Amino acid sequence: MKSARLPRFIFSPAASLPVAILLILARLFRSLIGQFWPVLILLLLRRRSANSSQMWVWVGIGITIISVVRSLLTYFRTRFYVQNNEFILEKGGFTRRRLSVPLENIQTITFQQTFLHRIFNVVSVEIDTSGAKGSEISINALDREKAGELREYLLSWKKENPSSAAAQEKTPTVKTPEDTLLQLDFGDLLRIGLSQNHLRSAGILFGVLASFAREIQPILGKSTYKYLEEEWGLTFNFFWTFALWIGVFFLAGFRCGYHDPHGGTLLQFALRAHG
Amino acid sequence: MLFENQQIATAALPSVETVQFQTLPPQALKLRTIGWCITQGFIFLVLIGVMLFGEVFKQKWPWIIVFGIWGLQAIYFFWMARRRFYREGYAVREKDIIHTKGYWLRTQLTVPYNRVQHVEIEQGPLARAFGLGGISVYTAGDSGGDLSISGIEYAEAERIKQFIAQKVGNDE
Repeated sequence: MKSARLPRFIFSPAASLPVAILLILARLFRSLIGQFWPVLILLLLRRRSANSSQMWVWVGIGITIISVVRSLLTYFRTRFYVQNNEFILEKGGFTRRRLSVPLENIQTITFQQTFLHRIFNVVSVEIDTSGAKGSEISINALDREKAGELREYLLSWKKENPSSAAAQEKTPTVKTPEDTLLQLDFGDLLRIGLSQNHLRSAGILFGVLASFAREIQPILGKSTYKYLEEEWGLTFNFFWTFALWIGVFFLAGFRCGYHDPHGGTLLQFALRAHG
Repeated sequence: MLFENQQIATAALPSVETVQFQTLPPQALKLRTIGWCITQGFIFLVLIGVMLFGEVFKQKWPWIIVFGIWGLQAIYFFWMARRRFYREGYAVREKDIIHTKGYWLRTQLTVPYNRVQHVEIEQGPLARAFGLGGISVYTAGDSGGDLSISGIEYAEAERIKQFIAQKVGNDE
């Protein structure tokens, strides 16, 4: 072996963060909805008879119970540690998986926070190798400090073991927290949006949504719209749909620019890990 | 230095040494049969449910055809599981690992160890009862072409993983 054996390094989220259960559940539901949304829309739109709607309630309850059980299992079975220069992640709900990545293959370490994560001050950590398109390792909810600790550990390992030329090239330089690599103001974001065609996607989405709103009007019935108009002062027209999407985009923008005690945004983490 | 790029006569290449493939343990076939039972049972239950509550056909006879088709595909997949099982094999060599499988379409996938990015061992709840498991080897390419053997002994998967890890660590 080319490097000194480092002490076994164990994190077990199960011991510390019950919040993770909630987040795992949230992710599970998100992916379920992501996969079955056409079915859900069909169910919502079709004319319901008392008999079948009761059946769907039971199906819903069943899915919920299975999801909760799976989340609990995932939560109690997730643990990760570094052993023999390998990062090992044990995971899995019903099927147990054990992933091992050689430390020298690790390329980027990304922290992400959704709205839910921010409420509980946890991060989801994604560790990428140069392999497949998605992230190989993703840990759903980790205490902010522990995540930082893990990152420092992995980065320092990389520093101590510049084993091959390639690895040396990739060895990231850890900046001091005050050192901002890159700062983007709103004008920059808008320009990036323009150049990345995000605005075009937004336009397409907006068009789809507007036409969808018009399509579902006869299904929801005039009364729904009237209710919204009278009670909330909302008119479901062009203008409001557009405003909604502008709002969504502002939120998305904020998400990119969240601040970390270690100093930096998501983009900076990526840049830093790349070196 | 002059750039040379001569053509190789592929027919004249020395033939590869014959690889002795290891077959899967017989429990794996049992496991697959159980899997087949679960899948087919699920389809059957859904069909029954649709027949009783769905009100799809007015008459009875279309259901005979539907269940006939169900029976045929069940038998076909039962038979295929066996054929596939006997054709599947793997070989762990000094520099690469080979996995061969398939009945109609036979594939033989070879992954050299120096291309391995990470290794994953998995074990489902049923496989645990049989002491079986699976191993997946991920390479630096597309996520589609990765080698994945399921239905070997768990201890064997562990051993192969250990071996690959040591190889990846050494050959830099």
